[in-house]
Amino acid sequence: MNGYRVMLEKEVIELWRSYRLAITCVLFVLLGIGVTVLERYLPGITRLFGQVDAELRIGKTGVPDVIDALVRTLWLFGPLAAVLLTMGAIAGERASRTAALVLARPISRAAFIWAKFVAVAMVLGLATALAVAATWLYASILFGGLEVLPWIQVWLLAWLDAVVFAAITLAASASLASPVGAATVGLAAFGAIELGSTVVSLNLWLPTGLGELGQALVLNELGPDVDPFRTVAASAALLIAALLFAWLRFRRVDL
Amino acid sequence: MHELALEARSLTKRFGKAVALDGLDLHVRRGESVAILGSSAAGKSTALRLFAGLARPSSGEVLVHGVHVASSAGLDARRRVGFVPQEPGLYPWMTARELLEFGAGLLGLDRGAVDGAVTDALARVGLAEAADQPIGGYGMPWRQRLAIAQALLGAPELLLLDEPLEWLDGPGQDDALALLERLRGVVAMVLATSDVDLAAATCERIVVLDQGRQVASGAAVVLLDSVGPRAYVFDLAPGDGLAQAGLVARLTSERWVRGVSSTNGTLRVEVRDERRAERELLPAIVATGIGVEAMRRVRPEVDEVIARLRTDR
Repeated sequence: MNGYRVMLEKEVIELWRSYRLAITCVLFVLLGIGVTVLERYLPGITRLFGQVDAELRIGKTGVPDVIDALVRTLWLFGPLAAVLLTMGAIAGERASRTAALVLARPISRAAFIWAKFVAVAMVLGLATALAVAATWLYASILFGGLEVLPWIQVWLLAWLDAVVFAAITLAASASLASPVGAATVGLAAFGAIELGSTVVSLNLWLPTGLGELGQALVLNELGPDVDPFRTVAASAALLIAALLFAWLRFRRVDL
Repeated sequence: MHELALEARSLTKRFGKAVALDGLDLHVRRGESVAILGSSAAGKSTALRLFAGLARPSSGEVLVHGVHVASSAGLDARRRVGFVPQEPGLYPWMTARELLEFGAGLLGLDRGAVDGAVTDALARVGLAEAADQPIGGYGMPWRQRLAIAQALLGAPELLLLDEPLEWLDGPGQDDALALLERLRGVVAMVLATSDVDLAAATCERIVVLDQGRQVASGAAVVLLDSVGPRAYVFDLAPGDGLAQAGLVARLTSERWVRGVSSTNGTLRVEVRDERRAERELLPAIVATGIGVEAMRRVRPEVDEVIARLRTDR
């Protein structure tokens, strides 16, 4: 693809200089540490606040609680970060007229979009990896040694979940002239998928299903009725469809 | 090597029901400079964006160096095209040098050649000393200089310039005009402007657009002469107001004078007969005893040019 490498380099430098890369990574590390520490010391914290209702009494917490909290956190903040990082990717460049300056050069629109997506995917990959690594490290310290492989699987699933929303927001950013409009579409997609996840049979086909899959992998509770490939393939298909839509829309946009 | 740097065939662009450009035919030979002259919303910028491959025509086609600009081969042809948009969008977080290095990278220039090309482009627009400052701190005149510099990267064979002097200050305009003069004959240029003087000074041929339609086209000198003579502007020395009023009244009564206006010591005389004006105008003013500090000839404004072309047709 013409100009892809140069465009990707520019995107990464821009994410670095605008502090978006650093802020996202620091936030996710704090989240990763936070969920473990919070789960480990939650019983103590609740006791500090005095008498707790019997129904709210929290017993001893362990790795299942940590992984549950991590999945809930990553499956919330991952998509949010994806939307925030991607909302202005194309719409912002159209509004500031920088897209015209770049695309008057010998760079294809596919390369332009792909570079933007890959740059955001790299940041999300790094951020989710740091969050999972931080959680794994603290959980290993606080709850004893843990296998690495299932946690890598959780990371990959969290990354896939986040990049699906990045792709959806990118498609909106390619279609709409406003970053706010793109963010609205990204958040609406997040809301719709969260709503859809309440239907158990549907959740298996949604990015939210990736979270439950990750949880089951860490806890070694993968039942015979769970098909990891179906859930992963469905999210991958959604990702590819969103990217294809972004390209089909953007190739017809006048700059 | 294709003889035509740019070819537009029946180029039309519609935005909904509005027609921004209506069946433009344009051929620009290698090394030729052509001005697209028109007032605002005439379709000049739309035409340039279509030439640059940034917008898709509703009908018709654009060929750059003989290949369709929208094709994959057209993508490669853009290596030989420099584009200066009317309102240049530049990354504020980059320095001028970084922006040009980025542009050179997109053009696929060899790593070894990038430094030289960037330094040369910066020097040509007078930005060498500000090269390492963030663009966010640049004013519009510097941004415009930088936009011109990025268009010059990679020794383009076709330059598309959309109001290139609009944001420049006085010295910047002089530098840019000198640069365009040096490029004239070497690089094919298409310059979109509403400035009749700029079109006349920089281009061999002028195409006049009005509301998206081509209303005239021809050699710059011939076309501008055909729309009638110029106006003369005098900066008068401070003096007798009554004498100035008398001068205005006297000139207005002359048959070879189309109109006279006087404001803040500036006298503008639009003439019907340029020969008589050359012969009689200055002596007429001097005879009144009013001092003349400066005199210049100006061409009619673009709207006047279009109005006169319409009348002729």
